[in-house]
Amino acid sequence: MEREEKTSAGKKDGVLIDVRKIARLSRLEFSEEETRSLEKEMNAIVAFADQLSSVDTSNVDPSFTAPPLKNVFREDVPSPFPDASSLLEEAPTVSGRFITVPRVVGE
Amino acid sequence: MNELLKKSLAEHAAAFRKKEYTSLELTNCHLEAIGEKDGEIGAYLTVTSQEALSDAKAIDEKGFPEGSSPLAGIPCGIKDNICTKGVRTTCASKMLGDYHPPYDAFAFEKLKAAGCVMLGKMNMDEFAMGSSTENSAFRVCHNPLDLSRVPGGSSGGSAAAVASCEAVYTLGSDTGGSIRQPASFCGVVGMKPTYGRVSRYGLIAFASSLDQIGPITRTVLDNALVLNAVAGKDGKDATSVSRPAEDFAAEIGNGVRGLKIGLPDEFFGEGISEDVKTAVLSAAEEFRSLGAETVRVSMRSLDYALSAYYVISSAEASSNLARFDGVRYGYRAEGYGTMEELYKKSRSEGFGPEVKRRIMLGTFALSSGYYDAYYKKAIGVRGLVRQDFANAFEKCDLILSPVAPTVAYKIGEKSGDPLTMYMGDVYSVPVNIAGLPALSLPCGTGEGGMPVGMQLIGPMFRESLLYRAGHAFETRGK
Repeated sequence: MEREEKTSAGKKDGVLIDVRKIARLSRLEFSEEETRSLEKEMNAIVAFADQLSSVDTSNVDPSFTAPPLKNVFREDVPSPFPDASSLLEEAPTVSGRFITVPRVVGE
Repeated sequence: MNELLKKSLAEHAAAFRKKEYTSLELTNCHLEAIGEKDGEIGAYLTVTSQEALSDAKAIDEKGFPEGSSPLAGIPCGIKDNICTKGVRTTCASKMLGDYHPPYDAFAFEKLKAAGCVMLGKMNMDEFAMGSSTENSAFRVCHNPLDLSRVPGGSSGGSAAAVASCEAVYTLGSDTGGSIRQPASFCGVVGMKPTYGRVSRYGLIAFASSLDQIGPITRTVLDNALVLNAVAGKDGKDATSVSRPAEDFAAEIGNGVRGLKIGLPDEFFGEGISEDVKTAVLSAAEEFRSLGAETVRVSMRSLDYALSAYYVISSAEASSNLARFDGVRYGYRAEGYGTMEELYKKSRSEGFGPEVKRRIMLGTFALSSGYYDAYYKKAIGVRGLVRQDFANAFEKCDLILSPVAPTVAYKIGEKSGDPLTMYMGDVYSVPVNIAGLPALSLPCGTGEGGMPVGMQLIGPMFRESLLYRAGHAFETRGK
């Protein structure tokens, strides 16, 4: 499937940002009113960010695109977390040593 | 106000060692001040009185032997996005309204080892997203110098408490200006260290390539002393850098004679208010009279840095906040049926509007079809910003600029339009984009008698140079 590259959301055929789709991807839900106001706000912010398209970044020295850090490694030595039960105390619903959630797979 | 409350960290440290007063007495003064004032100011989300008093007693008993940290026994506040084991840490969000971290942040562990006395957790914009602390889910924070105005954000509580003497120092965090701008709005000193200088382990993440923890204090020397205590390599933060041990106060007292201070044209152009421009340019004049030279520099990419910042930070935030799903910790909604509903309801009810807005922007910028135009492009612009700073530092030793385009504005004035709020970050975000250190300190007053802060930006790892210049300015004429 060919992925269609869009140059800037707000301008492409006047198509506005698909707030409902982005909300699904973000695992968020909004009322109709919130959706309308988000459409307005996000389109304004993205229109502002569209100025980035006018910047020529083709000659950026690649050594400047990331912080001047080298990757660092350390030995993968496990150390026990001293207080495992405190982790479970933060979980909303617990059954024994398990955190309970709605059924995920199958019916 | 009890005169004791106005003293600096350095003064208290000396006084403890001369047995003029105890940590317990000082801690009690601070708790009283919080009791009297914080109802109005709103700097604290949690006050840990019992723990503070017992820590102070323990420190007094231990004494202040040779080699003990100057931070021993000194009462402080910690921004509420920094994990403090067993002490409620909320990020000013309903999502973590009842969260008690099972571990301490590395920076806080270091403060504890130095003998700090934590008074409580500081108010902030929710998940560090905001520039006014108006996005706190729990209470508004007021600027102590004018209660009708914002303290700035996102470390608004941290800055307000230092300004009102409700703490000797605080830790804040800075992703796009969140230490420096509230320091400017409240008339105190704030440092965002070089990226990697202070471990982010235990700092609840907003944007991982931009976040840094830093101190907020009333004097430049105090700030260097706190940075000494919290900086350092941490095996649990792969982005923390290994550097030779350094005393950040070592260059204080060397003055600014012979230093070249760059003034970027783009920082003094359209958008800056006259009172801020006048105050910062007067500071430039003061530096010249102290023997420094000022040079004009140009950084064209600064025009785009703000857009790049909002794309990058929102993208990273959308990824970092995906962990808040109502399953293992944090807020879980009621009335859900499926897993999908558990996620959506918990997140939509737990997060405030600004947080949700940024998650949406970030998801958009990273989504299929838009990734190249927005996120990848922003990373390229980031490279240009870094290159611009590198070029500027060939012409000067450090850069002087405003921190924010205005002084502290009235509560409610900018909260209606997100984009207007974002514009206020225009001078602070380039520093985070480039990963450089920057110090914010008061340089004058503006509209309504409110403080104006100036920003000193240095090359990587040159915090000592910034403290040197800041101290020279702070003590001029004395």
